[in-house]
Amino acid sequence: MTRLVSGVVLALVAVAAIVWLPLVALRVLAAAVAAAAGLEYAGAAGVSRDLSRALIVVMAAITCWWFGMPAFASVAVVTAVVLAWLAVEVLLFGHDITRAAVAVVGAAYVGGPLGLLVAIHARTGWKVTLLLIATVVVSDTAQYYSGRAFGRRPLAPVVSPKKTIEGAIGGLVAAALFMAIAGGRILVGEAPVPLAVLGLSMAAVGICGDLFESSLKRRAGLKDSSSLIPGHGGVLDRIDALLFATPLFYLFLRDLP
Amino acid sequence: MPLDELLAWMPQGDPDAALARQVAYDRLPAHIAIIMDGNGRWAAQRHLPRVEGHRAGIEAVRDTVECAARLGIKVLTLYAFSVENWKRPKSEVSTLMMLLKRYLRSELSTLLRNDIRFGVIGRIEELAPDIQAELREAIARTASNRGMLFNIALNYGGRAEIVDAARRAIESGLRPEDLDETRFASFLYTAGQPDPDLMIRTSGEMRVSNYLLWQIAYAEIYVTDTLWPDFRRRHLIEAVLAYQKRERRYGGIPTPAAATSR
Repeated sequence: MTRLVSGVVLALVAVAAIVWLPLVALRVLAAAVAAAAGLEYAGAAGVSRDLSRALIVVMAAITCWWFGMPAFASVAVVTAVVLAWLAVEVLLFGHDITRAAVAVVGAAYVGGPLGLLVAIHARTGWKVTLLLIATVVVSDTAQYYSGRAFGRRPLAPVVSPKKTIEGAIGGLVAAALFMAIAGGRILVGEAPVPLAVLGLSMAAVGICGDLFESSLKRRAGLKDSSSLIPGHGGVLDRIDALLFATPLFYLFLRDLP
Repeated sequence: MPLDELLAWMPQGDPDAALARQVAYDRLPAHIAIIMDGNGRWAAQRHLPRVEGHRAGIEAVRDTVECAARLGIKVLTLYAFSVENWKRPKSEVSTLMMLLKRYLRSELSTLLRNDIRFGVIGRIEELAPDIQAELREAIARTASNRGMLFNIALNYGGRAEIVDAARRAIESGLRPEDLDETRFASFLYTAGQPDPDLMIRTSGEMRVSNYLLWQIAYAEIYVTDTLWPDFRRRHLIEAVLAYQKRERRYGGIPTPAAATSR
């Protein structure tokens, strides 16, 4: 029951924010989500030092803020910041390169996609943004129910024992159908076949995102990334598939007329 | 009936329907010319690259063209690219041209479905060959349509047009005393088209920017602060309503039957 109530509340808040919040407020909200997800990532990735955790949280928020402004997020600046940060981790904190990379990757992993989500909103408005999120939700839901109904063969027994191949197929099919139908109404002029391929690809990378996050937690020996959302675990548990699906969707939009 | 055409296009209970009902369909502007300004500002406000503003502007073009056709406007002329726009960064120019090409390809079916005839004004012979081919294709495919004429001004300048017309007049061997305003107008790109009754400029700028200089002699000018990517059918209908409230005198004195009676 807790899970259902908090799920519905969460969905309503997210939809309301995307539909009604002005762009600046949405940017702040996305940066806050990135910061929370960054903290969970730091925990799951075994970053114990407070200063290092704080840096990941701050850089996740900054990355999100900045990727939401594609006019400024140039490749050269990204390169410079990544190198500077690696230098701080290795030379100042005395971390080895693996730990330094874990920190830098964290900011990119959570901050980048959430920033792109804001950029999608800025460019194409709330309907297209909701289309992205809805596709991921449809895929997740279809995976759950088709897995429960038909699931027999495990998909990734070590990382995520409950996931099945049948569930994954259900998610792929549902996302492809959903994107072909709903996407065709929202992205005017797009043919159903490319849209179906887009939906299918988003579901596929979404499953990868889900497994990626599961393996992060498994290594840290956690069940949920945190207990921030009652009945749902942490922020990262909610957005793991979205994080992977967003860049793909962004690239598809970028090439639209 | 234009009103039915419009209402059929709008979803049930659309607030734009009430606006559409206020339009006096017997006193529509025959020709509407639009300066599509504010794409760059729209993008800057969202911290997006300028080209994103142009992309977003295409949605506004789609909506405006279809709305104007359904309203029953005879001619719609959109200012897409001026002779001065070559000064912009190369990447922006090439994106604009790419968007134009894609627009023509994806919207041809809409133009055909709405019986819209497509035309181009400007020095198109200076555009890249592939763009020219694309334009000719769209012109040819829609040539037999009988509905609205939809002009795009490309590599267009008002002064350049007048110079081109003067050259053609001289080339035709016309004697100076035979040249009058009507004759001269027949050498312009817009030969045979009614002059714009309404000129709309978006993004709040109060300039004519070398647009249809000869033809806008008596046009009513309507400036809206709306940026072009945000411009939709509602804004077009609002402009038409504002136009219909104006008193058009063409230098004379008001007559009781003029466009003011409402």
